Amino acid sequence: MKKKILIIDDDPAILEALKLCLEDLKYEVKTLEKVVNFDNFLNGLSPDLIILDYLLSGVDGKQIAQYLKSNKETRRIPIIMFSAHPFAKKELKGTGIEDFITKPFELEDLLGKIKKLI
Amino acid sequence: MKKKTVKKNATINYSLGNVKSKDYLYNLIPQSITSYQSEMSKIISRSFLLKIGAAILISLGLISIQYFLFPPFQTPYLFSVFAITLSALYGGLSGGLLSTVITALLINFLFFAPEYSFKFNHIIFLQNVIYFGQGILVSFLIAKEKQERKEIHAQAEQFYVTLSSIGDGVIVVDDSEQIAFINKAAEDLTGWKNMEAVNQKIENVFNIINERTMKKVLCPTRTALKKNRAVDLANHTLLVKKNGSTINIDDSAAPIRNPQGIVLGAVLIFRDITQKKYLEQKKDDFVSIASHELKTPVTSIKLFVELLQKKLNANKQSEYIKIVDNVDGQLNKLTELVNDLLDLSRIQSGKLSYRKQLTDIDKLLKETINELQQVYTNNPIILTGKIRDKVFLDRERIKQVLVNLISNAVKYSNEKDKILLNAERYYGQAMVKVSDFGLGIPKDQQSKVFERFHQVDNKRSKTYPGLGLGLYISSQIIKGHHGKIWVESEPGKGSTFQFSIPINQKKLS
Repeated sequence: MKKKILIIDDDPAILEALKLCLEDLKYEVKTLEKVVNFDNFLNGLSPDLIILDYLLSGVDGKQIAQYLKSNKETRRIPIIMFSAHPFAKKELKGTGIEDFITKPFELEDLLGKIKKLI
Repeated sequence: MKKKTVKKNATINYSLGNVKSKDYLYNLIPQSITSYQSEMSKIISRSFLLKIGAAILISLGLISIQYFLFPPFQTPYLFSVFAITLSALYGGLSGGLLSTVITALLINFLFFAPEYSFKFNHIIFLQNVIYFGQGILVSFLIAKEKQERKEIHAQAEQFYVTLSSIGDGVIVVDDSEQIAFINKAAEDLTGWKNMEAVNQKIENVFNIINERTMKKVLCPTRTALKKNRAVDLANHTLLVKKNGSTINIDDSAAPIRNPQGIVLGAVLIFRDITQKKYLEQKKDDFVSIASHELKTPVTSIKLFVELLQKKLNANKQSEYIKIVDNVDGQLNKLTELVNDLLDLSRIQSGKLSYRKQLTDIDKLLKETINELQQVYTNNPIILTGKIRDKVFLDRERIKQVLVNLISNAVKYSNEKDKILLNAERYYGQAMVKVSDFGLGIPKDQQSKVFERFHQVDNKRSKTYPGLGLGLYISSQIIKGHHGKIWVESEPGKGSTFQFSIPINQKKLS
């Protein structure tokens, strides 16, 4: 059974690139450009891992992470956040996310982090 | 307080004659302009003439009084001298002379006994000659004095008008920091009128605070007076206007000394730099936006390239692998440039922060050298010495400094030249040296290499690419670790860049 990864980023090029890379590695990948409201954005996706951008237009990544980590059903889904801002990591302390990676990143680094979590 | 200043200016008051209007203000201001001193010596020599004139006048006056002791000549003559003086004061030289003639005629006609009227015997003739002589002298001296005063006034007026018209704010204070004068521009900038500001303490009118801490800043006139030298204001200063609004200013203060070198007060000059700041901010914002915008496509291009590399490797398409590897190499360079720009915008906005922890600096040095040796295969990088202690630092940032210094060393070295690294403890400091045997830096450029956008200016040899940010960013990082960075170099022989970080730095941060 393929592992499902949900990627949320407002840059379609990054979504496309990551999707191609990860699908190549036999992951099932879903992408989202933005989250309009929290309640139904997962919409039965039940991913095994979420990769989330820190700065999104609309609702920002930090709020999404906080929501997911405070919700019973989604609390267990591991989250990796990425950002062009290396010090976003500091701000994300306490949100309960599993890992953080700075943009631009090496694919190998991201894969290492994914493999550690699922 | 005011009295004190007047007293100090006593010599000036004397040579200015009795200029009382606008009192000591006029006396104080012109002294700030050195060319005034030569004017002063001219005035002194002119007043010498006046003194001689006064002596002759007094002597003649005494002689004539002897004659006037014979009544009825006494009163009319004295009274007439008074009339001449008044006429000369209001009408100048011609007024005085006219008055002399009229009074002489009147005296001869009205006050002399009829038998003496217009009879020119020797005594009456002599008296009339003395009288005319006195009249001319009084008129002349008064006219001269009037002209001197006018000139001095004109000079003072000119200085006053010049100072008032300067586009920058000018405030003159006395030695107790009380305001003696503020010009039009300063009135506009501070919101205080000259009338209200004069005799106020400078800090009430020139109320300045630090832009970041919002705390009161010491007025530079204090330092100028205390240290008896010109001082510039630190950056990021806001002037609080009378109505409470603030503007960004730039200023300097200098002591006012009289020719004897005694400090009489200080002059403060300042200007509004709000517009300049605004433009600078715009530029910083642009760099920040541009670098963030550049980073996004770079991230996805990098992912696509990596994917392509993977696919090609899997299919063993070696001819394409080489091309894509080149793309990847150039992309890494592009990423570095974008990262430098990002760092620059963080430094400018004060957002460059550090994740410091106790780090084995010897290990960090070794690792960095190993990594770089793989890239720079032509130049052997050799490390000597050890710190043998953990240092509280941001690993990634210090590594960035090392990478920058070593890649610079390689960049300006000849092929196969060694790059030497040395690590040492020195009085509680971790000292790291990076030496090369390459191009070297001329003396006049050594202090500039740490400035932003500095480029190597070498017309003869090849150009060296880069944004000119590496050493600037490195110096800022070292500063953020309470350390120092500097360079020693000899053109043609090579350069040694050194930095030091305090080992027990945790206490400092």
